Order: sequence, then C-alpha cells, then structure tokens
Amino acid sequence: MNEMIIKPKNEVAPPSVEIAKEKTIPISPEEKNEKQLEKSATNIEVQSQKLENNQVKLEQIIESLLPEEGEFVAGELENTEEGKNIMRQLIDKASRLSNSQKYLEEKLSQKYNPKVVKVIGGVGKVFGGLSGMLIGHGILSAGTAVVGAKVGSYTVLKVFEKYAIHLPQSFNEKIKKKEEKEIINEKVEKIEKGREDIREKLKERGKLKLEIGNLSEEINSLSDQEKNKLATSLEKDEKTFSLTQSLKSTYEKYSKFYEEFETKYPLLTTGVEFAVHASIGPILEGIEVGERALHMVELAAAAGGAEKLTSHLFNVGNSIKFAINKAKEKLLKFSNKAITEQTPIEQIESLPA
Amino acid sequence: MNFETKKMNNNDKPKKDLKDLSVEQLDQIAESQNESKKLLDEEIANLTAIKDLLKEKIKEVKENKE
Repeated sequence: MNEMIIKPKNEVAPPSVEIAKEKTIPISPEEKNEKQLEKSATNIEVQSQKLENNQVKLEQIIESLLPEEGEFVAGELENTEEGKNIMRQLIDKASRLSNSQKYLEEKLSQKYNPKVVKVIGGVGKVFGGLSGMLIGHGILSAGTAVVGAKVGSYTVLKVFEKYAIHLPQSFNEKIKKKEEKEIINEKVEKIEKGREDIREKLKERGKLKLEIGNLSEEINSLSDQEKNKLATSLEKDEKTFSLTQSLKSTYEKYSKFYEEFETKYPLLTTGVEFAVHASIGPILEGIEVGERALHMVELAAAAGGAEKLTSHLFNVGNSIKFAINKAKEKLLKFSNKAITEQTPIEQIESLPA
Repeated sequence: MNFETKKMNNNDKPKKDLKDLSVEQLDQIAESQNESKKLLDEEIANLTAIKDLLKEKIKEVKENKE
C-alpha cells in the first residue's frame, strides 16, 4: 500500500531545470531601459554617498590639523609661486563655471519643476564641499568656497540635463514644470476637439456620398429624351464647368497636402500613427466621393451627347484620378511604415482572419 | 493584404497617448489637422454644390416633361 502512494522520482523536475526556465523570461526593451536607468540612479546615489563620506573624512583630517599646520598649508598656497598659480587657476575656472551653473539652473527651471532643479543642484554642492571645509581653517576665502559649491552643482545639473531627456515618460512627466503640463493638456484637448470636428465633417460627407449615389440612379432611370435635355442643360450652364473645375482644384490641394506632408510636418514622421489618424486617415476614408460626383456628371453628359462637357469632364476626371492616386500612394506608404513598426506579434495579429 | 485591409488594421491598432508627445509634435498635429479640416470643408462645399446643381437640373427636366 505504502509503495503505491510514493511518487516516482522522474515526476519531480530537477531544480536546475526550473532555474534554467526562469532565466529565459524575456525582458522588453523598455523594461531593460528602465532597469539601466534605475541602476544609473543607484550608482549616482552610491557615488554621492561616497563623496559625502570622503568629505566627512577630509573634514576630520583638517579639523585634526594643528593651527600651525593649517597656517603652513595656507602659507604655501598664498606665498609660493606654485601655490598662487594653483589658486589663480582654480578661482578663474570656478568663477566661470559658477556663472554657467546659474545659467544652466535657470535654463532647466524653464523646462522642469524648479524645485526639482534646486534639489538636484543641491546634491552637487557635495562636489564643491571641499572648499567649504577649507574655509573653516582659513585656507580659502569665503567667496572661493561659495564658488566651489556652485561648481559641484553645475556638474550635477549638467549630468541631469543630459539624462533627463532619456528618462521614462512617466518619470519625466512628474518632474516637468507644471506650466508645460498644462500647455500639453490644452493642446491635447484642442486636438481631441479637432478630431470630433473631423468626425462630424466625415459624417456629412458620408451623407453626401449616399445622396450622390441616389442621384446617379435617378439619372440612369431617365428616358433618352430626358437624358438629352439634362446634358444640354448642363452643357449650357457655366456653373457645371466652374464647379467641376473647383472640385479638381480641391483634389489637387489634397495631392499637395500629401506630397508635402513629411516636409511640412517633420516631427510627425516619427509618430506615424498620429499623422495617419489625426490628418491623413480620416480624409482618405471617403476620398472616392469626389470621383463619384464627377462620374455622376459624366454619366449625364455622356448619355445626352454633350460633347464639350464630356471632353471637359474627361480632363477634370484625369486630374482628379491623378490626385486621388497620389493621395493613396502616400497613405499606403504611411500604412506600410506603420505596419513595419509593429512587432512581429502585432503584425500577425493584424493579418485578416 | 489590400489597401482597405491595411487602413482598417491601422485604425484598429491601439494608439499611443497624445500626452506622451512633445509640445512641438502636438503643434504640428494641430496644424495638419486644421489643414485637413479646411480641405474637407472645401470638398464638402464643392460636392454639395454639384449635387444641388444636378438635382435642380433633373427636376427641371422632369417638370418640363409634365
């Protein structure tokens, strides 16, 4: 009986296999990036802590100096040529960097929350702390110590400036200046409103498409005599020519809009989805409506033998078709680009069933 | 995969949040959106005028017959 409830050994996977499985869990590039940033942030924190510890140690050393030893160091710096040179160069460089620090702090405060910039700049004072220590022993003047602190602050702010643009969006959002967030919200609202406007216009155009379809059927159902009359009436009316010409001009503008899109809006080429959905996509959904309208006039003109009008429409039609094809080519290019930017899984999922 | 299918797939694809974009990118979207709105308005106006003209002409032809 006992033998029956004993599990065979081979049912339990050896621990090494489990470990091997865990090691193969894939990490997305974003996760990898975040981990690296976290690592960098931890490193900066550790290094800052080390610097602070060193500062404390140096302070202890300086404090342990006898007054005459401190005087000796100060004397060497102030009285020997070598000491004077070192101090001159140090003060000169520090002064310039101090001004740069002020400028950089102001510049970053325009983009990021000024409080965050101040805190980050404050961390850098650790680097300049050495001069602060020396002043307590009369080795450096108070002014030089302040300059030294600013130099440290500048270094850290410079690093922050470099890394801030690569931080994850969620973190960047937190440290961004409040006013910029508000600006972004306003702009997003405006775009959402624009999308709603476009949706309404598309509904209107959809309705027109149906009406145009119905009119085409109505023209087809006319008798030959009626068709002749309609064609003659259209041919005599200058409005027919000017309106079809105007439609042609609209489609030429569409064509130009698509052709110049990347040049005019270079920043949108990196956000293809937005470019397609906010501007190009909605328009193209019903771009054949114009072609249909023209066909409707063509139908009336051809059926009634209106030669002048037929010839005019032939030319207009060609231009419209050309414009539509240009537009389609552009959208196809954008669509292909959007598709190639998909991950393999997304590409498989997007295939038709 | 034909043109229509590609278009639909792009429409179905989840979009990124607009708030993730820079101020400059948002400005360009708004600008391109305005341009496309103007074109749509122009197109709708032209199509409506052509439709109305034909409607009127068909009506005239039919009325003359009666």
